[in-house]
Amino acid sequence: MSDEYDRDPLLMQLFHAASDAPAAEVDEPFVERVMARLERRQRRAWALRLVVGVALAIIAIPLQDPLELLADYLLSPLIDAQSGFGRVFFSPMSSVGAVLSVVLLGVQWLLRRRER
Amino acid sequence: MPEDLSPDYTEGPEPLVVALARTGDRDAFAELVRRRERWLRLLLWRCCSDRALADDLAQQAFLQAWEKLRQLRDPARFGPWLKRLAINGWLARLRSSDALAAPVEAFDELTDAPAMGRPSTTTLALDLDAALTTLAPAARTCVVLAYHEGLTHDEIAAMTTLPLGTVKSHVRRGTQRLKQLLNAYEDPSVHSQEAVR
Repeated sequence: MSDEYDRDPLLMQLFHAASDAPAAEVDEPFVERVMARLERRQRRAWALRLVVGVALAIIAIPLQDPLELLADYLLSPLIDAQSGFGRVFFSPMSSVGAVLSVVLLGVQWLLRRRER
Repeated sequence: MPEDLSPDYTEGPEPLVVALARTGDRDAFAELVRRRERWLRLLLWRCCSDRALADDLAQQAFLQAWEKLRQLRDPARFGPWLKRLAINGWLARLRSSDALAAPVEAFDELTDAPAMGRPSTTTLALDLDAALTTLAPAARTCVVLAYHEGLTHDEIAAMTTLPLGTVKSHVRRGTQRLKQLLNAYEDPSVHSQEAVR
């Protein structure tokens, strides 16, 4: 007669008996193979990071001028505040980059509200 | 590090060793491999009936475990979590060959019955493994998860993503097949002692 999960008592006994062999020694060569594979995988990951980093650095050279132009544009002032107080007061909205940051924060906040 | 200052993980409880391995301690992870390799390889070997494949799947499971160890929230659940990684690896292999999706009836009488000698405690493990090879891969996996790991039908269905009805059918047919092949062991005196490999 099987149990509620259709398991036969005889087979359960046989599986248990077959698996209940005396504890064998650890297969150290197997453990070493696993650790060696682990090391190789980590070395490959580091090599890939290095290659990607070098590739990005090489790609960035011709992009340097456009990126500098973009940075100058983002930092260009919107409000021409002469006084120190004016400059500080308007600083959150005083450049294109600052306005963009505020807009992105607002969009992020709206999206989170919608998720809730 | 001088030998007398190197940590000894062999005596530590597994959750502690897992916690240490999560910090990137490779010696701790090697200890986890030592503790679990025999159990994992036996489980996978029973599922796939191929020692070389079982070893390869076990290695992949350990490598995945190392990479994903930080995702394991409860170190005490390392064993079941590792088992899930290993079984998922085996199931991915089955899916790539469409063996998992084949209809249950397609596997009736898949292979000839293996030759079984006179039953004894020393041949029990060998006979059980030989009998398991006569089952189709999907059925064998369900039967092993049911009997070797003690999972319920629902748990097997969740793990294999097979329909519940298919799991029940695999377990039922697999049980019938194994009983047919191992009926000589119905004598309790044959298998009451521990099997020796």
